[in-house]
Amino acid sequence: MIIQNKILNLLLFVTLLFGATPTEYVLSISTGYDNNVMRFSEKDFTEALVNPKILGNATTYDSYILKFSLRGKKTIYKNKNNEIIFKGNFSTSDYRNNKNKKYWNGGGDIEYKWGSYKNIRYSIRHLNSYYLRHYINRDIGNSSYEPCLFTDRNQSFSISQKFSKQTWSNVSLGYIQRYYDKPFTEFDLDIFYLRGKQNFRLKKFGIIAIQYESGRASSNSNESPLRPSSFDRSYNYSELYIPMVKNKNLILVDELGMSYRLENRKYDAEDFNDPLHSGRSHQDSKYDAWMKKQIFEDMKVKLAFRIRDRSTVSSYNWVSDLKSFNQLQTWISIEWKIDYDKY
Amino acid sequence: MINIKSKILLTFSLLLFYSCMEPNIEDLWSYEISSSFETNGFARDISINNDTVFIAAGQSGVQVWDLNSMSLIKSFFGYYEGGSFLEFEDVALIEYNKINNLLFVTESNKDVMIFNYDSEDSLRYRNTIMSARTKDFISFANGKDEFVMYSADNDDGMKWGIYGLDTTNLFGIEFIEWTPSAGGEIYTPGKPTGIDSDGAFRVSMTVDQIGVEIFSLDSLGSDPMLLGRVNTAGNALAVKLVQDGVFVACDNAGAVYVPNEAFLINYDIYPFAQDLTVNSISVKDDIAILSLGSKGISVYDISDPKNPIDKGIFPVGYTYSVKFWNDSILICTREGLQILNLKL
Repeated sequence: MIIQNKILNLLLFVTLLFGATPTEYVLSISTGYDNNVMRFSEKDFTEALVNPKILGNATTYDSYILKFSLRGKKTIYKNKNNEIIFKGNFSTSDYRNNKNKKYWNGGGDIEYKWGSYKNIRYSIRHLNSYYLRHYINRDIGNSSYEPCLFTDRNQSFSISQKFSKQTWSNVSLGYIQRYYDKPFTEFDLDIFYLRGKQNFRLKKFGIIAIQYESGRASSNSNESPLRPSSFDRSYNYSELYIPMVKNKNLILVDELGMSYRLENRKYDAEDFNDPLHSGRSHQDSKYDAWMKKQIFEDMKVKLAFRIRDRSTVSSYNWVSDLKSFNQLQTWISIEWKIDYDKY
Repeated sequence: MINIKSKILLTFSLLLFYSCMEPNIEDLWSYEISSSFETNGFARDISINNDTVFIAAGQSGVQVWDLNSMSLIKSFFGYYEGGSFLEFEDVALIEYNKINNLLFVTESNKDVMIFNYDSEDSLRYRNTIMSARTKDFISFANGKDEFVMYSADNDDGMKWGIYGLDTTNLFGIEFIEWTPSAGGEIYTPGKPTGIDSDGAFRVSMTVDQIGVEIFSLDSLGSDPMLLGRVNTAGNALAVKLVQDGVFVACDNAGAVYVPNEAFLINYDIYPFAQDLTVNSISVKDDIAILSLGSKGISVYDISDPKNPIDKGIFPVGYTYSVKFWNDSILICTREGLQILNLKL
């Protein structure tokens, strides 16, 4: 809650920054639907019929979602092409049919810009107590289900450089602290990643990009002194992301987009006592599509869909069955842009 | 006019505003395995004498290890009786009696064998006491050349006896045996499984589905008197006496703390670890350690025995039993004997 207040205060504080420039705010209200909130596998769905404890307090697998978000942007220094820009964002999400899944996220960016697509940026993002599902707390027993939540703190430095009128690149170096709430702290991870993105602007079409990210998630719960459930949950991952945005020559809508994201993850664990992670890998595919329409000068509507498919490979069939799932999400958002001029 | 220095200062202030976060800390205990003893056979039970440990090593028989140097002093796969070498089948229980240099050994579901084990490191069979289907026993030296033993006899009830050294010389051959001078058998309904005593005033015995019983003693060697019986959930398998009551391992019903009052009047008992399968229990000061078989051990803070607090399950291998040794814990597992240090 303290961090939440800090971010909100920061957004308010942006308004008071000097710089003889307006402050741009975007207020967004979204409603959505998630057909598999707890990322249940087919095996989980079957088990839930006889063991409703795995649902936690929920009575349904799916949920409607309500989300409010606020973004702010202000140029706090400008001299010809040189600019220092501050950005902040905050949002809350409420899964209406799952009381455990109610979280907020926020963050900020400081960007120094010396031309179009030429900038260096520090970013910080905070995802607070994100609920996954109820799991058995095996630290102390065999049957006590507890809600499993984690918090992410993602900090990154990125640099963007334009190479021609149609191409520019981004390179980012990041550090995510993924720390779980009690009683699942043994799953804590420190994740370092390197990301590269190449963007292409296509005439009469829009933008296509290809992004590759590679990272290492380190778990130290297996280091001495050993705590309960002391297994190595470290893994390496790589992610391919290909977004495509068409914003030229469109009728009815102003923007059409689609993207494909594929994550490959391979766990280090080869511990016979930890079949859940031992020799496990997965492919997580996300297919996104969206469209945007400017309905007023300062207001736009966005409609988005996501299909997610995770396929897990393990030498234990029950692990493969347990950790593979499908998910469908849909969103409709209304964004209202507000410029605040103090000067 | 824009004050650049102020802006930069502000920028860095904002960066500092955020920082890395600290992980959450759970109120669990951690542990370190300081050493392991490869016993070949399963380490089923141990008896500690200062820095020497006697191990009931299953099909590897009886082993004697030095705990400090972690070296095997002696290994006995069998023993000589009447001139014949008899191999141990599966040693399950062991206890060392220092005053009389005796080693009591029980193979699974059999009676108690008495051996003489002295500084010559030899194991000399004396005789057999109690009866078949002895599930557990405990003994106390009653001065030189005498000991008292209480056993949980799965057939009949609680057996106990005062045994004295009996040496006879026949045709020039010296026969040494330990023969009972007093004792008896106290019938109990059900199947006794475990036993513990303080060697002075109390004996407690677990009786499978029936629960746990407590007996009073006027003194060591006096007739035990049944004080009461408390029904526990599950199958009562093992018991550990403490000052104000007993802790009972209840198999797939976990464990329970039974205060002394509960044996006399209708009084609450305090189950815990109910979703665990507990084979045996060991207690020292404010720590209780439950042996969970394939799950390892579970550790509890019992500073308030009526409200044990779980401090973690440690997967240390298939665990039969646990004993405290100084500030360390000796764990009998299928992989051998392990020395574990708890980090509270």
